Amino acid sequence: MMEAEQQVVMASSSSLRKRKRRRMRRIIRRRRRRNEKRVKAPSSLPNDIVEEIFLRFPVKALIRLKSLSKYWKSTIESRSFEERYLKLAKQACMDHPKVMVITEEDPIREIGYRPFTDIGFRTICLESASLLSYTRLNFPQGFFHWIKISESCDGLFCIHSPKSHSVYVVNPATRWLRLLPPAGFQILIHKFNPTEREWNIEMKSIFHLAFVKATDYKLVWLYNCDKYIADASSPNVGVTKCEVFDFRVNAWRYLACTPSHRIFYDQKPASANGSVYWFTEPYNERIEVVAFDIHTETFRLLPKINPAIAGSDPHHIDMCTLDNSLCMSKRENDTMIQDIWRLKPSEDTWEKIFTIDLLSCSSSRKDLVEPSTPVAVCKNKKILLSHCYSRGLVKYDSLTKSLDSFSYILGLREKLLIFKV
Amino acid sequence: MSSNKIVLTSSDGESFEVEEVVARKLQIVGHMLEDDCVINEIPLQNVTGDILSMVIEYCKTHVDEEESEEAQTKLKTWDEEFMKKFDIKTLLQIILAANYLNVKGLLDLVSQTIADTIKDYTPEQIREVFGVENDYTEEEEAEVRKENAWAFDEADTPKP
Repeated sequence: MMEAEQQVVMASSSSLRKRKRRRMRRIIRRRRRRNEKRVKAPSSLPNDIVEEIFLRFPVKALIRLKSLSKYWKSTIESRSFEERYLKLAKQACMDHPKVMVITEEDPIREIGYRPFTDIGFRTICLESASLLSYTRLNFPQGFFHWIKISESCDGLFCIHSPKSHSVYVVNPATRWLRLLPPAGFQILIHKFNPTEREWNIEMKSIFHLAFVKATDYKLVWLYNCDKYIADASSPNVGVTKCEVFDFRVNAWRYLACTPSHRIFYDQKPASANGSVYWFTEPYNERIEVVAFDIHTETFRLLPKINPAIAGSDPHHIDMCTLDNSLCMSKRENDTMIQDIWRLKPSEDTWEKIFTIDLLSCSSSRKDLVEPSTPVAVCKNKKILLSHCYSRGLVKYDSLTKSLDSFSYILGLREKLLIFKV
Repeated sequence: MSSNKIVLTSSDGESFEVEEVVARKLQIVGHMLEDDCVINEIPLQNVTGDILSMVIEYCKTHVDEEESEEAQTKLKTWDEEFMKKFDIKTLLQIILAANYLNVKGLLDLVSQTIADTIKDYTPEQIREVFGVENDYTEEEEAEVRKENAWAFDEADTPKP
C-alpha cells in the first residue's frame, strides 16, 4: 500500500517535472520561432522569385520541396519548371564540367551469375575531382553482367544488355527508371540463340544505341544486316537497319531508308549539332562517317573527313563529343602519339585541338601511359581520358605535359564506365 | 554619354549620384531613360537606401563586362566575397530589389547564393523562410514524403 502511494507521489512529482520541462521546451521553441521569424522574407517574396531560387537547388533537395505545399508540388512537377531547370543545369555544367561514373555494384565473383543488377552512379566534379553524388539503383530485369550504356541525354541514360531483352531508361538524379519494350534487334538476336563462341567471336554486332532529343526524346539503333538479325517481319533487306524508339507511343519502329555502308561494329555513336555519327567499315581502305539528322530522320555521308582519320584502322579511332562538337581521336600505338581533331559546325574544317605525346609526358605512374579515349575537356587546357579496359580515368594537362590518374584520386578501382553529363 | 550623372532616390529618401552607364545596369532605369532622355533624377519607390547602395555597388563592379577569362575569374571572386557579407535576411531583400530594378546578373547571383545557403534546410525551415503555407493534411504530407522517401534519407548521401 505504502509502496503504491509512494509510487503515486513519485509519479506525480515526475509528471510535474515533465510538465515543467515541457513548458521550458515550449518557451525555448517559441523563442526559437521568434528568432526564425526574423529570417522570414521582408514582405514575403512573390512566388516567381522563390521559384528562381528553387530552380538552383540540387535535385535531391528539390524533391524534398514537394512536401512544402500543394502549389509547390505541382510547380516542381510541371513541364515548364523542368525545362527551365534543365537549361540552368546545362549552363552550370558548362561552367563546372562533370562526369558520371557508372559501375556494376555486385561483381560476378561475389554473387555468381544472376539476372538482377545493382548499378552505382557517381557524379564527379572535374575541377576538384570530388564526388558530388552517389546513387545505387536496382534493375530487376537485370543485364546478365553485360552492360551497354548510351551517352547521356539531359542526364538520362539508356542501359541495356545484349544478353537479355531488357532496355531501361534511367535518371540517376531522381532515381526514376522505366523498362522499355525490347528492340527488334534484341528479339531477333535471341531467336538466333547464339552459342557462347558465337557471342564472343563471330558476332560483331553493334550493341550501342544513341539517346537523343529532337522535340521529344528518342533512341536510335543503327546496325548491320547480318544472318542473326534477318527476319521476314522487318522491312528492308538492305545493308543496314535502323530502329527508333518513340517515348510517346512506347514502341520501336524501323526506318525505311538506311545507309548503304556497313557500320563498324566496335564503336559508340556520337551526337552533336542535331546529328548522330557512326563510322563505316573501311571501303577500299577508307572509312566514311554516316550522319543521321535527328529531326528529319535522314542519313547522309559526312562530306569531309580528316585524311589522317579516313585512312586509319577504325580500331584505333575514337569518335566522341567534346564541348558539343564532334571529335575524333587517333591512337597511334607505335609512336604513342595521340591526336584529337574537332569538326567545326560548318562541317568543312577539322581543327586539331590536342596532340598528346605519351612518351614525353611526365607521369606519376608508368601504366598511365597508354592511348585512351577522350571523355571531356576541362578548363585550362586539360582533358580527361578514359582507358578502354579498366584502367579508369586519366587527366592530361597540355600546359605541363603531364598525366595524372584521376580515378585513383577518387579511390575507384573497379572497372568503370565513364560519361560526360 | 558615360560622364552623364543620374540621381537615384530610394523609398526612404536617400539619394545616390551615379554615372549613367551604371544606372543603365538597372533595366528599370534603362527603360525610363529610353522613354524620356532628359530625366536626371529617378525615384525608386520599392527599395530602401541601404539595399539600393548594395545594388549600386554590384552594378559599378559589373559595369564593363569583359570577355577575357582573367577578367571573368576576377569578377567571380568579387561576387563570392560580396555575397559573403550578407545574412539570409539581407539576401532576401536584395533579391526582391534585383527583381524590381531588373538587374539580371545580380538576380542570378543572389538566387544561387540563397539556394546554396538553404538547400539543406528541412521543409519546415524553408516554409518559415518564404512564408509558405502548408495546405497538406497530415496524411497527404506523409504520403508525399513516403513517395519521395529517398530524398529525405540523410544516410543515403555519403560514400563512394
